Amino acid sequence: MPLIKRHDLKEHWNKFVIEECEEAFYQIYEYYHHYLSYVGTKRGFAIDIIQDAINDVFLYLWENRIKSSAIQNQHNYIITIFLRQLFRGDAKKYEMIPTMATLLENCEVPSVEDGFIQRYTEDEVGRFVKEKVDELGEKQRLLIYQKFYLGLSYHEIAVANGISINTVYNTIYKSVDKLRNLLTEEQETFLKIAIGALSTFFLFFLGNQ
Amino acid sequence: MEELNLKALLADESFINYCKGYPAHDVAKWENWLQDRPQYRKEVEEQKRIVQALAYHATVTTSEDNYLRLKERIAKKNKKLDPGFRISSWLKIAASLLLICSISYLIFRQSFLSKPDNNTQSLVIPGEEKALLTLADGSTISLDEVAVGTLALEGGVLVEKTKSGQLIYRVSGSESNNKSASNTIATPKGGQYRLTLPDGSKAWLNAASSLHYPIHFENNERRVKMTGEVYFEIAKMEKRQHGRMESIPFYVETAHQEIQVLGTHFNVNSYLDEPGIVTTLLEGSVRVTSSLNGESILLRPGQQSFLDKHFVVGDADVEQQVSWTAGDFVFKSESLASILRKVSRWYDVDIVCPPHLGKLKFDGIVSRSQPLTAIMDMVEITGKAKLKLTERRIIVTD
Repeated sequence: MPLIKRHDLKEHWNKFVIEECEEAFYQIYEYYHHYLSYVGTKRGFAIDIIQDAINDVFLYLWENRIKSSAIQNQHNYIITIFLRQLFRGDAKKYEMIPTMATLLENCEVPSVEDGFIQRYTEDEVGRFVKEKVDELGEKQRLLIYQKFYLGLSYHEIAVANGISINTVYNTIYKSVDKLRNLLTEEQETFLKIAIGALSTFFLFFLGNQ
Repeated sequence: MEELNLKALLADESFINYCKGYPAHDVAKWENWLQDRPQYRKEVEEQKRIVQALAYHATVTTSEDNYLRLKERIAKKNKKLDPGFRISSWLKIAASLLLICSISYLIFRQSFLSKPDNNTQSLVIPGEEKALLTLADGSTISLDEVAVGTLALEGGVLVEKTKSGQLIYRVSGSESNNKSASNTIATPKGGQYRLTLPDGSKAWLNAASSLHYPIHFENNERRVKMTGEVYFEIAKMEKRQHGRMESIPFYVETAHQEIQVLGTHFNVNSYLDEPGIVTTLLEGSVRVTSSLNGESILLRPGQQSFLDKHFVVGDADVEQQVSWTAGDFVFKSESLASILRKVSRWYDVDIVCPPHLGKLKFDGIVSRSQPLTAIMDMVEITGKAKLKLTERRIIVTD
């Protein structure tokens, strides 16, 4: 499933508010899940609070999908609701932000459209990782997501998850290492089977001679 | 060929950027690096493809996981709005009145009748730096209550508590006759403590553990006794024997096991309620001997031994074994029973868990500074088991 790009968002948004299409809703959800996770973590919020706030936003959007058809700039709309949810109960932090407009300008956009997603093609390694990714726990996948995809620093990830930098670092390394070892094992098994098949063939061939 | 350090590659932001293919100067940097070292190309290529695939699939599953939670919330809301469940207005008014009355009664009861209730979940706080030190003369010092500074002078050794809340033994100038004197440090449930022994070796006690050690180590061996879980960093010590330098071995005794060390880092988990003694080696080498049958094995770094009746040696998940020293709980398909034993020791609570639920496996990472509810939530969110806390006792049900 390809991840959508920003310029396709408008089309999905219209499909969602007019046709109430869930697939389009999920596409928008996925795009903003990454965007808002990045923005929230950069502001020092815990990742579970961020994920809850994202779901608050999309629960609201889902329930008000008919009313949302009047919205011109869905991007600012989504970010505004998200930040309101995030800073809820923390009026002090909220007041420190001069205006919503400057905040929006200062939010750097994560490079959703650069890098990994464009480069990613499903090859042997890709299919293998896809099969095995569930063997890593949800928390491990979350840390990998934050590091490799969102490109957050080890420090930011440690703060967002309430764990030590060392643990973040080790967990990510362990996950990559585990997959590499599994991959090597599989390649070796494949090689053994191939050699086995080849020898059987030769035996058969010689037997016939 | 020198082995490629894949761990160091992952720590380098520019390498991750190279895998992403953006920005260009990082890609160029690593391409140049590979041109000079063509022997690493195959390995680096593979690492890059794993990182790319992992980034993609971890990203897709992470947003899917969270979307499933959103769908659950949407489904719950729809259920509530189901017309069958709607109640007429007068019933609503009656219900509101009843609710107001009940709340008023509860507030009244709370403020006038009942004593303060200490059993709420939020009050179960994590453990902290706490321990009891027993000196050679039998007197005891509660280390979390006593002020920073010198605590005692025993047989020419100064016992000090540092600003960072550790215990340090320092040999002062004057020699003493009382060479056999020993001290004991013991942590309660919900406590941990760090100390530096007179030979410079470091020991870190987890909750409900103890360490018994002489204040002067002998010339030919150093020997300590422990219970519970302790992480050691043993300092190398040498003496001159027959004209050459020889290492003075360090011995760690537990109930059924003895470890012989020269200079190394390792963790020993010997709680009596665990299925066996686990010794995990991080650096150096150690010899572990069973005092039940004299069986003896040698551990290499990254290995661990498990002793029940006989030794089982295997590769260790070192990070998981010593995560407690970094201030985290790390669970990797760990049984609920094992998780709850750790919880019981760190939060000082009792556990009631039926055996069939104790076998359930969980993954997770939780900081040890989080309140008890953090781990309880981690388990409950999976929907596999329910945890209820009453009077410092966790009861697990289906």
